[in-house]
Formats: sequence, structure tokens, C-alpha cells
Amino acid sequence: MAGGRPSWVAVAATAVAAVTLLPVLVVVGAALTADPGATARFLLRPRVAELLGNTVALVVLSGAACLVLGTGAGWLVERTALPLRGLWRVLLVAPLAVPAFVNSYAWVSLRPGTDGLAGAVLVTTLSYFPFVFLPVAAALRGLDPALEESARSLGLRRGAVFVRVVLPQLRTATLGGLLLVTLHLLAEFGALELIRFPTFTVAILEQYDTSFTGASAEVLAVVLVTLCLGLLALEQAARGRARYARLGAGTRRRAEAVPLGRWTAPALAAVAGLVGLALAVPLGSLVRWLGADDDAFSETASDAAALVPAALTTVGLAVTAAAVTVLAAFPVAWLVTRRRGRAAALVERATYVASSLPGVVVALALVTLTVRNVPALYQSSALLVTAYVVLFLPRAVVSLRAALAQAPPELAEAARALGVGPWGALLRVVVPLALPGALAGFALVLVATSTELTATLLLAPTGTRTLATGFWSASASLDYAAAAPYAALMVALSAPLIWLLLRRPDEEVRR
Amino acid sequence: MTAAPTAALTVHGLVAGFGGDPVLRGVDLEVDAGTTTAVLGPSGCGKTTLLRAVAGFVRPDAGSVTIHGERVAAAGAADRPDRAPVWVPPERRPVGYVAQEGALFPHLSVADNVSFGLGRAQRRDRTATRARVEALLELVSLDRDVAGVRPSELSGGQQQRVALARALARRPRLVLLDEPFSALDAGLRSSTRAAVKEALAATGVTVVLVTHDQGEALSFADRVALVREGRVVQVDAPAAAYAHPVDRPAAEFLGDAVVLPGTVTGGVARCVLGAVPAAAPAPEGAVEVVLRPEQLTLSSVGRRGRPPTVDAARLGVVERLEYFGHDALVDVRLVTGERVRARVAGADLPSDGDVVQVEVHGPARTYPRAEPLPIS
Repeated sequence: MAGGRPSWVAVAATAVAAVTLLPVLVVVGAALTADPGATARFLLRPRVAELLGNTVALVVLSGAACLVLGTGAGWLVERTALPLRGLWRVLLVAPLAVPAFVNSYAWVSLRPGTDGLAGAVLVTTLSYFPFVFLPVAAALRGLDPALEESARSLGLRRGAVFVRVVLPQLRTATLGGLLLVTLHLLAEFGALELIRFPTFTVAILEQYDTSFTGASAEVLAVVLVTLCLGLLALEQAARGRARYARLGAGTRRRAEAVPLGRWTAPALAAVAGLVGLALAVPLGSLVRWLGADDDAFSETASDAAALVPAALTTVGLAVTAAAVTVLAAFPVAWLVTRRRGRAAALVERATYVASSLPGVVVALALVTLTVRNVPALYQSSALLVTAYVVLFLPRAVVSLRAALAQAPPELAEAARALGVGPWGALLRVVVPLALPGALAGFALVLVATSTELTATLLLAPTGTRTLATGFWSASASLDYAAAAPYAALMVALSAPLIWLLLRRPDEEVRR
Repeated sequence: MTAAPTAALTVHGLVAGFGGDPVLRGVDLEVDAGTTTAVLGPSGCGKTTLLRAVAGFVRPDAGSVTIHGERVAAAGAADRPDRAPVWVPPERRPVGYVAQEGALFPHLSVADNVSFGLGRAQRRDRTATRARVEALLELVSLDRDVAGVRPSELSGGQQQRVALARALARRPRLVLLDEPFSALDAGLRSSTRAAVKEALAATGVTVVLVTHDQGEALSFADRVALVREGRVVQVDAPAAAYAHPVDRPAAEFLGDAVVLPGTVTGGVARCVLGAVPAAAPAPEGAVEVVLRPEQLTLSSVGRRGRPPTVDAARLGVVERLEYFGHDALVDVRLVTGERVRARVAGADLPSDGDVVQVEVHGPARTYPRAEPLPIS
């Protein structure tokens, strides 16, 4: 294009993609160099079969539950005359501001009987169904009602229109949401450990804690990565080549709301019940334990003294990680929006693959890498920040992509045709237009980092305590009251997430 | 080869593209100062690439672009060290560019958009800038009240006018318009076109307009440059281009055409509609005879009075009628089987099934035909 833009963008983007792929390479390397006989013996134990059974059962049951709840709630909120739709839209996204392990803690501390597969499905479904709700609601909002009207006038009844016109167009949204749910389920550690429901991720961390050699943990990680990549491939295949773009120009009208009639009360009860279980229970439980803390004769003052440094450490780490992630995402997003083409798509894909791996796998790989090659980096804040960047890069890339789309090349060209040089065009046109999106990406990474548990447990330098690890050490020793203030702070830090997600609901959020 | 002193724009042997097949395959074009030239062609012909090469957004692989005597782009020659490549970046070309949908900056007000290209010192002088902005808005027939609003609050036509005002703010010597009216609906299009034409005429600037709409090209410009498959195939005044297209595809692109097989002998074309004078240059032998629908008149045979002389070969039946109010296009199937189309004034229209006799007025275009048809 104009003036042959320096290809430093491509170089930087490739470098970023390479760093994010490092953990994947370590895992693949471990798989290739492992002794096949020993690996087979290790993998063929009944314990591994049990882990696999648990993992698959959880993914299938919880995935299906999220799909039904998310799609149903999305349809009720976006397409029916449900009272208080605006309120429900917010409240159905809000569970995402409660980290899954906090939700799990709330349930377990409230009802100690919450355990096993049923408990795991309950807690993870309530935590993750918004991942389906968000894209489905956005897709339903974006559907041109003219399509449905055309189908009606072609002789289809309302139900048939939903099945033959609406559902097929929701395919991309539901599949994307379902993929997010399953990847989260595979990666989940904290919530399941509290419920005592061992999956691969849980077993890897236990294995790592007991042996510290990491060898058997690495073998389990290979299985886990295989599952993740298989899911990614499955989703790609199911998504197919279909593009349901709106054809033609003209303004889009809002869809007519379907009247609910006598179904109004049951629908309201269903939505309210879902919100109650997913939001009111964890928040209520949290408030109860916060109160219990006051009543207890325990050392409230020293708790607060431990809380403040943990909060400061968390914010410091999160701000650093968010800044680095946005900087690393910029060349990738620029390449994808401005160059397109196969190479750019490949770079973008690469950054997604690494982040779809569970945090535990990424963290383990980084441990292996540094212990073997750069011991000085092991247990350093720099390594922890690197892990955050690898895990959360897609959030920043997605936001920046949308931001750069706000500043299409035509506008930069218009500026240049008006006598402004390339840097002037960047400063006066591209930056002002892209800034809000970049800030949104920053905030998304900030929130994700400040509630990250698994990788932080493995990589945090000795003596570094974040809100998540502080919460974890308290709740793992069943000191629910001491854990409550950490949980409350994390929920408070995550609250802006709701606004961010509702502001741009079509945004894809990973982990 | 040297640019004439009055040439505002000279494009010579321009080859350009995006890797692979070039989009422009050797474009030659000269635009006189103070004129309006429409670059006309079907989509994908390369006309927009040509405009972008002149503006400086596409680098030529071969050839050169000269604006008012200054060479702004030239591909170098590997074997000729004395011919180093020349490249002037877009911001230093004396060119105003209006993109397809205006490309107004959404984060700036209309006034800030219009004054965007003015130098920093100029923009510091608030009163002078405001006066200039208001003068420019007036020039494009916009109310000065729009200065404070955001572009998103304007209609498409208003946005295009702001884009033109913005491009004119730097007093360019050459204004490039890339399909500026194609995104507007019919009513808005003609009023916006009129306002833009008036504003451009008032400044006396040289204009190059890219369009795929032949009506727009013929009505807007002093000269029409027809582009096909990356080459300029014809440059003429609108009337000359319409009356004397360079070949049959050009004739069909510039307007409705009636194409009949025929032969030329001694400057007279013979076809199923009889002997018609052939406009020069008329190739002898087998030709395609091309007429415009308005060259055909229909006289009714069945109803009121017969035409003075009935010629059985020129009789036909009205098959279809497309009515526009002021006139209508009438498709007639001749007794010999050929179909012809006539443009008939709206006052005296035949109906479907009427038998009519077709008369031809004015000269026909003739283009050589590869092999003679068995019957003619």
C-alpha cells in the first residue's frame, strides 16, 4: 500500500506469536521425547481413566447445560416481552465478575454437601453459562428482523421460523460460546479442587505439588493439550465456511418482541431463579462470611494488614501485565486489520492457540523452559507477567482489532491526501479513534490478571501473595471467614467487566 | 511525450496492481487544466486504481504520473541508472481527494474536518480558520450551522459535500472524486451532484471523476475517458463519445444500442432496416451496424393511416414497452426475426401487439465483423 509501510509491524507480530507458541512447543517436545513405554504404563492406570471420565463427563454435562441456559436466556431477554429486560441483560452477564473458584467457595461453604460430579456441574454451569448468553444475545440483537418476516410471509409459523431461520444463524455464536465454556472447564482448577472433583487440570497440579519433578505432570499435560486442540479443531470444523453476513444496505430495525402472555410469570421465575443461583447465592454467601469475620475473635486487624499488600501486589502485577499485553497485541491487531491475508491470519491463530491452553499447562511449560535454560528467570515477576501475556493476549487483540476497525485505512489516506504525513495521520486520526478500544482491552486483561489463580500459584515468586493466592491459602485450609475479604475484593475488581462486556457484547472473551 | 503546458495531469504508460496480474496495463491519459474529466468503466476495470495512483496511494510498476509539470511518480528502469524512480508521497501532491463515502473523520466536528488539512499556524488563527471553513461550506451549499455537528449527524449527501469542502480547503490544483455519488440514493444523488458541480466550477479547479455510471459521466464532465481492462480505450467530449464510440462494447457501455448485422459499400450501410448512411470511419464489407434507440422512430400501421411507403422488411410487432413517463423504450420484433429497440416520446406510445414500421434517422456506427453471416 501507500509508501511501503515499514515491515517492523510484521516482524514484531511474528515475534509475539513465537513467544506465545513457546509453551506449546515445550509440551510437544515433552510428548516427543518421553519414553513411550513408561508413558503408556503411566497413562493406562485406572486413575488416569477416572480422570478422563470425570473430565469428559463434566465437559459434556456442563457444556450442554450452559448451551441450553445461555441460549434460552438470550432468547427470552432479546426477543420476548419479558418485563425488565434491560435489568436481566446486566444480571445475566454479572456472574462473569465472580471468579469460578469464588463461586465454588460460596457454594461449598454454604452447603458442604456440594461435591462430586453434580456439584461440579452445578457450580461450573452457573459460572460459565454467560459465555453462551453473551454471544447469543448479541447475535439475536444483530439479526435482521426482515429475515424472519420474509420467512413468515413464505408460510412458516413462528416456531418453524425459529428452527429454520433463527437457530442456523445463531450457530457461530453458540459454537463460539460453547468452545469458551469447554476450554474453561478443561482449565478449571480452583473451583473443582474445592469441590473435590478431580479432572486432568486438578490432577496435574496435585501431581506437581507432590512430586515437584513435573515429569508425570507433563505427561498429563500432553493429554490435556490434546483435548484442547481437538476441541479447537472440532469447533472449526463445525463452524464451517458459513458466513452469515447481512446482505444489502439500509438501516436495520429492532425485532418485534414476542408476547409471552400467560407464560410471563414462568419465564420471569426461570430467569430470576437462574440469576438467584448464579449471583445471589455467591454474593450472599460472601456477605455472610464477611460478617462472620467481624464476629469472630480472630485477628481481624492482621487480616487487613495482609490484605492490603496482597491487593497492591495484585494491582501492580495486573497493570504491568495489561500494559505489556496491549503493547504486544498492537502489531498483531494491526497486521490482521491492515494486511489480512494468510500470513496475518496464521499469526493471529497462533496467539489464540496458546491462550486456549489451560493456565496450568502454560505455567508448567514456562517453569520447564526457565529451569532448563534461564534459571535466573524462574520464580521471577517477569516470568509471571509473561504467562499472563500468553494467556490473555487474545482479549487485547480482539479489542484492538475492533479499535483499529474504527480507524479504517481510508481515513488515514484521507488525512494524507490533506497534506498530513504518515506519523501525523497516526497521531491525529488513528490514535484518537482507536484509543477507547485499546483502553477496553487494557481493562479486560487487568480484570483477568487480578483474578488469575492457577498460573499464579505455580509461577509467583516466593513470598509474593496476590488476592487470588491469598484467598486460596485461606479457603484451602477451610478458613472461609479469612478468605471472604480477598474474594470480595476480587469481585469488586471484576465488576467493571460487566460494563465492558455489555458495552461491546460481541467481543470474544477467552478465559 | 513532454507534457503540454496546459496539462494539469499527464499519465503515461502507467502499469500498477497489487502483485500478480496488473490492474492497470499501460494507461495514457492527459487532462487539460480547468476541465472536468470523467473516467468511466465497468467495476474492476482499474479506474479506481488509476485515481489512487494519481493521489499517491498506489505505486506504479511502470510509467509515470505528472501533475502540472511536476513528476510525482515514475517507476525506475533497472537498466537505466539515469532514470531513478520518482515518488512524491500523497501529502505532498497538489491534489484534493474525495473518497467513495467521504471518509470524514468521525471523531472530529464538521469544522475540524474541513480545517484538518490546513497548516498548524493557520489553524491557530481561530477567526481566519472559521471564516475559511464557513466560506468553504457556503461554496458547497451547506448551511454554516453544520460546522459544529459530528459527521454522523449528516445525511450521505451532506457528508459528501463536507468531504469536498475539506479537499478544497488546501486549494488543490487537481481534485479527484472516487465514485462520490454512488452511495447516495437517486434523489439525493442529483441534488448533490449539482451542488458539487457548481462548487467545482466556482473554483475553476481541474477535476477527475471516477464513475461506472455512464449517465453521470456524460452529464458531469467535459471529457469522458473510457477505461476497459486496465487501459484507456477512448477519450472524447461526452456527445462525441456517445455518438462515435470506438467499438461495439464501448457503444453498448455508453448507452442503449441496437446492433444489427450488415454490409458497408461506398459509405452506405445496408441492414434489415434498409440503407443507412455510415458515419466515418466506415469499414467496407461485413459489419455490425450500431444505432441508438432514439435514432429509430415507429409509425403505426394497424391503427391510424399507413406510413407513406410500406416496406415489408421494416415492419414489426411491439413486444414490450418500458415506460418512463417522459419517454419509453419499445422493443419491436421485426418480420425477419431481429429485435430492435426504439426510444419513443411519452406522448404518442404504441401498445403491445401493435404493428409498426421502423424508420432510421441519422448515420449509423459500423464496426468490422469477423465473418459475414449467411443471410443479410
